[in-house]
Amino acid sequence: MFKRIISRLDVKNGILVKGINLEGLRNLGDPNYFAKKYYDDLIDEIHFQDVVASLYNRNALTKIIEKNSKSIFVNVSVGGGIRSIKDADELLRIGVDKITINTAGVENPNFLRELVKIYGSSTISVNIETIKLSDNYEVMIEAGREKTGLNLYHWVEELQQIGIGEIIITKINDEGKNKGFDINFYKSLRNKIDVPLIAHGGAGSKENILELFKETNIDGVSISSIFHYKYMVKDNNSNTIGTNYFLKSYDEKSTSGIFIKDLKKYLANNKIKIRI
Amino acid sequence: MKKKPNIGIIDTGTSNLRSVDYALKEYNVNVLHISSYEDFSNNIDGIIVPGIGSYPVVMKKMRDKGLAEIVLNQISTNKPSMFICVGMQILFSKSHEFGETKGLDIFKGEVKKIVTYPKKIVPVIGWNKVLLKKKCPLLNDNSNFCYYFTHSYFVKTEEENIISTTAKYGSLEYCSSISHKNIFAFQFHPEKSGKDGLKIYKNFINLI
Repeated sequence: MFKRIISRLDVKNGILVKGINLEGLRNLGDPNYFAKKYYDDLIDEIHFQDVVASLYNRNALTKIIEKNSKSIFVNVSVGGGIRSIKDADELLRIGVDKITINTAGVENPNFLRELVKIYGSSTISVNIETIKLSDNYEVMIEAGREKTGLNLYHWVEELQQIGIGEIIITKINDEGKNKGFDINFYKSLRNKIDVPLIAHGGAGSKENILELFKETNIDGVSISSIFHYKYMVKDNNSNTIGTNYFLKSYDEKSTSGIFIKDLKKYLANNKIKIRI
Repeated sequence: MKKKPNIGIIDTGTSNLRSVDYALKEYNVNVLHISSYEDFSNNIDGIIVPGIGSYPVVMKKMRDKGLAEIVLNQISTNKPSMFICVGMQILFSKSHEFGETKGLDIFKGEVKKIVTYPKKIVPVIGWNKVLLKKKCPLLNDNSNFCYYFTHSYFVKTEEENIISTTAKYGSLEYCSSISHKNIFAFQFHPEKSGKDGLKIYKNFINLI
């Protein structure tokens, strides 16, 4: 099996956005533009995350996914605001392959059981957002805004009993800061998780990602900023993307970020099993 | 001029039907969705049973809606049929996913939970190489033999002559595709395997 490089696209009102610690969102452009570029550059999977999950936003996201499915032939996951079998069914019917749940699963674990029973384990993943509070990791919901009192390690154990097929873990303290992953944190999780484990939040450089794969035996990494910033193009047409101060002021000569092919080559050269 | 082929996708209720639909539409074909026996017509040139869904749920739909009958009829003709993931698994005698469920029993074998020694991560999700065991007309121009898998169960069969590729996962080497007469089946998802995956659809259409 190859390690997976997953691109995560946070979408708000039809626009690709990116925040820091899951807050302070910046507009980056058309999600379909980025997804197509990533597909052409051999991304292993694409994850769309609906960051507001309002009805208006869901309709915008549906259009993006429908357009995406027509030209992109890799696995697509969608998360954010999925609360019923009907929600899951609608997404799977427009070309989504994997359903990612957070809030609705914490509030009602039976919903997760039901999803697994209908669609099978490998179609259902859970996205955990956690925050370190003194010496305890607490599970957060509603895109990292609300506490649950639920201990991360207890939740991880319960999810595996339920039969969840994959666990994505975002450590909110590190998210969007591009300062690297908390290696010991993911190492301790790996020892407790026998289903695929994906790390999200913190990738700042190719060295960070190499370190993560070398040290933790994790199955994949979910990356947003460092791809988005590399592939972003300056767009002066503010009508197409709403308020986009950041985009207009973006300096194309900026060297931040990395191309997917370059990252993959680097990892493969460093003996990580990567599809190139 | 050659007529545009009609491809029927069996709607199992839980599948990623749309992804298969779009993969087919990369080529010049008509695509029809078949939700029940009544939707089937003789001018369908080839059928596809897509993946996703648990075995008991998919088999129930196949039987209740007369979809199993369509599959059995179709493979008794000389028209090609393609089966993906759980679609491949239902061709076998039975499965152990959520209790025991009888399959279509076209091939002898059982669908069992993936277990490896030492223990490895299950479900299997991601890209893996396949090993060619015999020629398959749908795989003949693929270069990397690397495809996208997502499953917790695998096919264990004594009918080794039908296996066109295997895949290795830890200590386990299992059947990852089948090529037998007009039946082509894949444990992996060609519609999720990039350009090499699309070639499988192209080759399937070319058989018509």
